[in-house]
Amino acid sequence: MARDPDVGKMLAAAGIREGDLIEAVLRGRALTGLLMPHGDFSGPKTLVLKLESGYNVGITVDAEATVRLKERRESKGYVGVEGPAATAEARAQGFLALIGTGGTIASYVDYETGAVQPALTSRELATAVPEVAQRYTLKPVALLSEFSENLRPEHWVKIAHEVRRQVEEGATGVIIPHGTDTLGFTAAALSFILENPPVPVVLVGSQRSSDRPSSDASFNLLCAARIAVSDIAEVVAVMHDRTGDERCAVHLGVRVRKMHSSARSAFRSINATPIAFTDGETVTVAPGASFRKRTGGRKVQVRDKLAEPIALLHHHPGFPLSILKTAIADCKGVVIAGTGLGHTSEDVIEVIEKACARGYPIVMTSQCLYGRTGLNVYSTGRRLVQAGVIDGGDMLPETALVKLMWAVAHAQRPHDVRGLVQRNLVGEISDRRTFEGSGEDER
Amino acid sequence: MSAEGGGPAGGPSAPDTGLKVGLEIHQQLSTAKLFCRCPSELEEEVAGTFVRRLRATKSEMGEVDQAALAESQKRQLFEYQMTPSASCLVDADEEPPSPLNDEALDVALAMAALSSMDIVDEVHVMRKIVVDGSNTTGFQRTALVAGGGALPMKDGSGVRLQSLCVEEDSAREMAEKGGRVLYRLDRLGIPLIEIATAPDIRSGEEAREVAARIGALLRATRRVKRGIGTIRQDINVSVDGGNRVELKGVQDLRSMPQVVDEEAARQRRLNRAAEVLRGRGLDPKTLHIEPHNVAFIFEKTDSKLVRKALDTGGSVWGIRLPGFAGTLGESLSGTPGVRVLGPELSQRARVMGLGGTIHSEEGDLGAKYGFSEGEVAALKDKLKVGSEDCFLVAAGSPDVLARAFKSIIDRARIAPLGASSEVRAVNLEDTERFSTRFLRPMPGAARMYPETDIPPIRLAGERLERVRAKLPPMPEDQLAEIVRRSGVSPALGEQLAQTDNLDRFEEVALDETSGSAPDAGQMVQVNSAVARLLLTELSDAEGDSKFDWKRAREVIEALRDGMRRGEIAKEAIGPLFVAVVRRGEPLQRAIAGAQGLSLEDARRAVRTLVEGKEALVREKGEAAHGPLMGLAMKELRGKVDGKLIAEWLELEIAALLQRRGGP
Repeated sequence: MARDPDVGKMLAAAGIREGDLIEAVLRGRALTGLLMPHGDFSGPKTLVLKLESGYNVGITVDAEATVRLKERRESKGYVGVEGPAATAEARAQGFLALIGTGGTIASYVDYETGAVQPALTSRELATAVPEVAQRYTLKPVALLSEFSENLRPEHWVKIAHEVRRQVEEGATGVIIPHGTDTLGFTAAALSFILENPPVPVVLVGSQRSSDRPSSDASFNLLCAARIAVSDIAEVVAVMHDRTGDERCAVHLGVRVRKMHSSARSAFRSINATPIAFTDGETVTVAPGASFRKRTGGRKVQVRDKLAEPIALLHHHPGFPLSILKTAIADCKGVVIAGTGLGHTSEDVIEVIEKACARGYPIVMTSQCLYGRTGLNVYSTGRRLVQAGVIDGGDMLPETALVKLMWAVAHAQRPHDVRGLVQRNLVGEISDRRTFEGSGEDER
Repeated sequence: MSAEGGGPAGGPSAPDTGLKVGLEIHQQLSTAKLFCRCPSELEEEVAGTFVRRLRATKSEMGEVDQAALAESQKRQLFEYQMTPSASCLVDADEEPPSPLNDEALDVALAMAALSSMDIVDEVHVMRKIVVDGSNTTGFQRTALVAGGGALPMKDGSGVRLQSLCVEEDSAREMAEKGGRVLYRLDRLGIPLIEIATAPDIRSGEEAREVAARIGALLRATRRVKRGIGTIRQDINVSVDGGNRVELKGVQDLRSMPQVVDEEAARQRRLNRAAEVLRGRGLDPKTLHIEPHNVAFIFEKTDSKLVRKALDTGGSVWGIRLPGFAGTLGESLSGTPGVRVLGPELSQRARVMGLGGTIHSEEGDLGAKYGFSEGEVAALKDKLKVGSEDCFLVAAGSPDVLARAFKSIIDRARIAPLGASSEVRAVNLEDTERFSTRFLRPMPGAARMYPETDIPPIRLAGERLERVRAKLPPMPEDQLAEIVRRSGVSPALGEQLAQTDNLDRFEEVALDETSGSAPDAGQMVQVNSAVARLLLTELSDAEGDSKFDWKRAREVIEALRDGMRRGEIAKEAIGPLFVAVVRRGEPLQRAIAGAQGLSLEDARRAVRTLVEGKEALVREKGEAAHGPLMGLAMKELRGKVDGKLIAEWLELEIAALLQRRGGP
């Protein structure tokens, strides 16, 4: 709730600003503390004071209350402790571009206000993540400042061009700290937009913000940096493999999905195994993993056209047909996460059939996530095929969404979209699955 | 203090005008956990483990909390054990906290109201940085609920209070090996009420009384956990206007006076040493101490301790402590065997992982550590130790030596200022002297920042009114009421209260409202026997790992009812309780056995009786139960539970009727 205007006037009249040391006298008792910013959840007449003990308390100002400025406090700005300088060995490795997108993987806390500030300069990074800054030469680039849930396809394109610029300028690898909510979407998008990047492009996030002693940010970032100097020239996501701070998994960008809302090990490879694991020191490539190797080249082709909008619909019992009809009317393509092997109810099939008849692209994936679609097993599937859906195979629904945006924009002719979607471009779809990627150990 | 001649020997310590003591009492609540809905129970079973590290987060003020920094410098790995029922993803720091437990907050509010404290209008949950691994998050969630007020003492006086917080308990430390500490998550998150008094207490005995009173008031809310470890006392002690020292881990109130006295004595010893050092012109601003590598002196040493370190890639470092002569050893302490500054320095080294230190005022270093005279002379020569100086050496790995010597030198440099402000732990095994050891520097306000995952809680007037309307009676009023209703003597009631057994007694005691009310005299007899059972046999049984109050209560109730019916003698209930609850014997067999009659014998007696009255049974059928019960009880009263006899009778009558075809 916003602060009551009368309370605001009272503070102003006493010459008090947030951060000042004040004395408030209420109901016959005096309290001294720093006036803290008024939060959304506090009452309109509540003053939040930080007491000498460090505790914050809320007190409600009534008509008899008085406040007095005891001491003006000026913000000291950033006075971080200088972290250790990069070692000679680190400098010899060249630089790693760190493209900021607004996540708080590297940040520090303002203990006075409790606010979390992103670390933007190399100096701030050295303070926030000294163990990484000492071993690698980091070049921070503040590109975006968005929560990941607010990112849009044009942001993916912007990131892709920045990656190209950094690679051309000589980056040994690129690290993209990213909010975890839509990290998988961005990873998939960069996989399609950046054609054969010559260096590792590593997305990394944290599930516990870096203002906490237990944050996974620094370990994830350390592992991301280790992968960024490795030979794995793919778009990958590097995150905690399990809950412990022991190793990170390296997931292919088109196969990774956030599978838990809060746990450190939320990111999993679906229908594939992670490419590799690292503890920040050594990199262990998974048996049988294949990936593009670092080439030493500096050229990056950016194929940045994306068709918008495209919708991703989740089929369910009682699915309202009107939503599908509206999506078809408003969008340049639709991806459906069907039930089981990739099914929808009969009424939906009729709508699909009409749209597909005029060449409209509708991709079918499975909401089970694990396993592929199987449109020949039941009559429903066969009818969907007859109706004209594009079989998404074992692609993640989200990856299929991003790929359809890209495919519709890049297809020479409309009927080329089907072939483009169903062809494996960067490891997003495969005709062979093993137990290792089936999630048997995850469930 | 007695060593200083500050109090009359043997008697309760008299108020010490230079002594200031404040208490911080932490009491576990019996509600669910504070920020998740796990039960507040400890568990033996382990469901899985994981390993984490913590790092001290730096503030943008450039400040890192000293205590947090000291811990994170130890670079430890922490291993956590999850338990099946009493830990969840919140405890593992894998899920955001649930809202603060309302029930726990209400207990805190009740306690604040009982002590007329000023309750805040909005509770803000804070994160207190703690990176010793005892919290998976690296911080303890804590919230100030009330300040001011006074603890209502029994005699009507008040002890000023400073604050009342509700906070989460830390994880249980199970073991430490190879730089890795093992914690169990069951205790993490159990709600604690923390009550801090003002530093107005003037003696150890008074501290004990105040702590006992706080405990009694907390128990009066009936929402606190009982048993060892559920209430923990921290004691803040300062003498003669000096620095405040926090002592952790006093579990037994009886030792509190000795702990306080010994701490006051320790601080005064250090202050005397400081006077000597200042007299020699020492000043922290100019005092310069530098470590030297002295390993070369010990190349051919016979000292096993040093040899072992050198053979495993270690080194030996030493420092000169200029002008420190006489302050490290016993000479200033006035107590044989008690050294002054030496232990302070070695304790600093120990928390940094060093096994120990050796200094020049420990007596015969040859006899104690196998140092040769030549080695000692070479040390003094290398370190340039003069007659007013001391030296200190230690062996270990270079990394550990570097950390440890930094800490030793930091402490030595402020020695001219006297006792230093720090957190210490009571050495529980030292029941003779109640000595303490250094744990960490005193934490500061720099370690507190807001818990952004939990919105502030506004305390509406309605809620406070509801809490005030349901305030528990004062402990002495509760006691008086229970004594009145149960008829036990006030002395027995007082004993029950002191041993934290009053609420249990209330659960099992008879009163005039009990069904089929016994006469007053018998009720008093039964209740007194039950009270004594609680004070002796039950208190012993509580130490058993499998002790379960619910089961014990059932047994006590059965014994009580047996006594009331005159079937069990009051002398028999103690041994019977032990047989059933501790040795696991079936209740009825134990009762029968205690009376020299096996259950089988009793059963046979019932059959014989029924068969002997066949005519009656044939005539009345099932209605024969009544008269036969009278006869059976006449024979078996006090030997077997009447309920059991009734059951047997029913079975025997039915069997007889069936055999003989029935009426």
